[in-house]
Amino acid sequence: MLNASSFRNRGVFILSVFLLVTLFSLVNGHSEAETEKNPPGTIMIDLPAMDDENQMPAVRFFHDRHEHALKGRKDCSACHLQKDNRFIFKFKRMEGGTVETDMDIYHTNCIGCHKEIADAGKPAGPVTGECRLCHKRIIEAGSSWTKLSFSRSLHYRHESSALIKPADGSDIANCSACHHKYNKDTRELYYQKGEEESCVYCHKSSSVDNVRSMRNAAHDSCVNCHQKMASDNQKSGPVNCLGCHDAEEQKKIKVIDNVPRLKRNQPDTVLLSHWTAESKEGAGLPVSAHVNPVPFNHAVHEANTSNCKTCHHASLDRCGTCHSSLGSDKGHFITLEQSMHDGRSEKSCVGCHNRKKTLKNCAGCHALIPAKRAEDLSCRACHSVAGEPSKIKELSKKEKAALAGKALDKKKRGHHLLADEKIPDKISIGIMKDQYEAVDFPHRQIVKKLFSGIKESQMAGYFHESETTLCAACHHNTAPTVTPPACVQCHRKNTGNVQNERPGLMGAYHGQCITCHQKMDIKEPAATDCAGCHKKRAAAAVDEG
Amino acid sequence: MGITRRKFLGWMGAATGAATFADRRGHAASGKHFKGYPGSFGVLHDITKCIGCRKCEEACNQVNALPGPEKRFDDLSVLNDTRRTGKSEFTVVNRFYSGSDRQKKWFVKMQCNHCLEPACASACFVKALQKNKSGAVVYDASLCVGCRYCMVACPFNIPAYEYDEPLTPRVMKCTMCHPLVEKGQLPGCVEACPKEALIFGPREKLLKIAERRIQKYPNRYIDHIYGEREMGGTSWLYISPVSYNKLGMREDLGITSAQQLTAGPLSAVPIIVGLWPLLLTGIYAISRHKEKIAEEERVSAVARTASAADEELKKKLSELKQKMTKEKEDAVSREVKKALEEARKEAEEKDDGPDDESGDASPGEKPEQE
Repeated sequence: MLNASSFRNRGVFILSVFLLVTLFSLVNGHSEAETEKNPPGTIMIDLPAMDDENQMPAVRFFHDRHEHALKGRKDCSACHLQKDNRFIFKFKRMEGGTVETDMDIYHTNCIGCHKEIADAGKPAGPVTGECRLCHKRIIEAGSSWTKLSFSRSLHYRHESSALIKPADGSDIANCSACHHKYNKDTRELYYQKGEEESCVYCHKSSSVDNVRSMRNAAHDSCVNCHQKMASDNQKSGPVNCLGCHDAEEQKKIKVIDNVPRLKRNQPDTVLLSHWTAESKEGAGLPVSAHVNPVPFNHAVHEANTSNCKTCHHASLDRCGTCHSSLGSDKGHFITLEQSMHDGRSEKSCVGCHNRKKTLKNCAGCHALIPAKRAEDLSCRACHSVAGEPSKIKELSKKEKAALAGKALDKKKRGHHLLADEKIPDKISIGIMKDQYEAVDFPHRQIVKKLFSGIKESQMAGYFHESETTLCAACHHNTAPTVTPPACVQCHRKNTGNVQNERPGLMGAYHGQCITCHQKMDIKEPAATDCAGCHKKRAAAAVDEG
Repeated sequence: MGITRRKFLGWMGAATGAATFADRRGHAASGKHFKGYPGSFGVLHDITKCIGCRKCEEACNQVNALPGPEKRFDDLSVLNDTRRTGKSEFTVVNRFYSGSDRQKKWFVKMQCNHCLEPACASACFVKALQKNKSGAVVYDASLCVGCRYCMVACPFNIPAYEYDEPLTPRVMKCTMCHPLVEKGQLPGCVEACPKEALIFGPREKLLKIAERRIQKYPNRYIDHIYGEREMGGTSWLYISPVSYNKLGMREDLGITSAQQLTAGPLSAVPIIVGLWPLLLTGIYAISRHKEKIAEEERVSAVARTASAADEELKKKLSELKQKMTKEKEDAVSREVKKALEEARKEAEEKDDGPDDESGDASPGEKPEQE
């Protein structure tokens, strides 16, 4: 019978069941979709859906794990067929078929192999009936796959290796082992000396028509070659995914310093000017209306980049071929001016220079220098070749290069520091003595330390036009001089003068010094270690003032 | 007039509803967008410059004569925890990390933001917290009743309370050193900061300086001045290298001031207080009237019934009386007749002589019996 206490009991029972169910589902609710980072070598096997039926999630295939498991027992031929002694890096087939046939190949071979190994008593992967162990729905938290930078050092190791033989008889070096060109008419690959280029100029991130993607092309060529050498018991590059695409493994790749210059008939100096070349995309302005040409030191820039693609990002042609004055479809409507001057781009001149300014040795000064607006920039630092434009246009390529070389030589001052006598040694900054003693500022030591950090940089040497340019980092907003004004001339003692945004004297000193230390990653003295720079005054001395 | 109760009620309800839900947004707060009192002061905090030295905390403690802290101000281990303002800490500095592996650290000073339209002043019904024309939100302990609605209202969670004080507890918060500012001096924290991470000046000027700084160093700051419009604008402005929610500062506050958020419902109060009692009283009066009439009708009905019953009773009584009288008279007349008859008989017997006493009745005479 329903009386008061049985009603209450029922309520308690229902409530506790509800709570239990809630807690249980909260705890277990997220096990359905896991979140994991894909290791390098994870291949997503994701065939398109058949009809509109429910599709199983893509399979995450751990290639390196399989390779490791089969090491010693089987080689690549366990999964990959061969053609002309080269492995086809597809699974047990020469090329992709229909969804049904591919699915059958995967199921039969994968499960078959797993069964074989399981029957032999060893741990193996999932078999029939354990579908969701392979077709697991995973929320990918990104991949730790790291792109391999085929640097000049790596290229040199291949170039200089006697084990890599040229594929073309006429080749004196072994460039033809990897480099080829494609004849669209005859549909053949051939080798042309002096016209070797980067693979990515043709092999893009995904396959287009019959041009394989960079991934497939690289794996076909590189891994097969490595594999062959390994089977001949020769030391070769990696054959597994991790070896090239894991950040830690990449660090183990031997780097050769002072790589000799690539021989590809590249110029030492170039006269950069759009209008001197024959171009249909010229803006139609008279010759005299163009900006002065830039003398470009190609040799030095070559030595300071890891590979040619840093600047020649899409082809080795003239930049103006795609980046016309007014912008064209080929150049993604990036005009020539933008492609050279965009401060945020990785490929533009100014952009790359800006990024160099954030390096530790440079950032101490350059972080304090405000960003200049376009109208405040000086073009003359680069656009320095003066001359009769019509005459320059008539010069041959070689003559232009010589002109550029001459202009560069004129600018070559070398990177010098002022003589020691001109740099004050120790400066006692005592103008604001209050709770602390005067600062014993080791001026010359600091200047010399800063200079030692940039001495080797030719770029710094080019742009630091005079010996006093370095001084202007701290002694700013005044003409470069050996006798700059004292800070207190502009930064008054009182703080909080918001009329002209200038910090007060204390804020100026601390702002300059501490910010430079922070940007250059100087740990001592720490910013909060007041006594590290100026000793604390005894209380009596403070009272006296 | 021929208006029925139902119609009257209908009209009343419609009128009240229309008045209640009419557009009455914060016109109570003067002007549609309060940009602060002209010439009011503020402080710009540049988070990239702060080094976490806590000299501002020390100066605030001295200027306001607050009790000494548990840990000294040069003990930077307090930065290991994230602190909030307290009854003896008008301002605190907290440390935050950024970057994928937390390599970069930033220090942020937290204190009352001296909003242009403070929620605390809005919530205070005794006007203990007031927005001063100089920009500071000042607190008058003599007016405070200790309800702590200001602590509930503050979106930045700043006011602290002297719970330990039994007799005269106060709400404790930064005052922007109002007395010093009135004298033309700088607030204690601004003066003490060695890096000039705090600058003091007219709020409009500080906004321009902040914008200019962001333009000059675009790689250093994100393009957002915190406090420019948050909660209707604050006098304490911030510029930062990383997004503010990484620095413990709320980004979900919106740009509407507390006053504007509450003005709508609050402005409906007079109408409700004015109209609804009237309405309800009217309804009450009508139903009372209705009841009164019903009562009267009931009473009269009862009375009528009673009088009707009375009359009927009287009628019955009189009938009964008549009947009884008649019966009595009949009985009397019968007795009289009987007596007469007997007297007559006696008289007759006396006349006849005493011959036959056996039968009084002569042959052929029957004794009259009735």
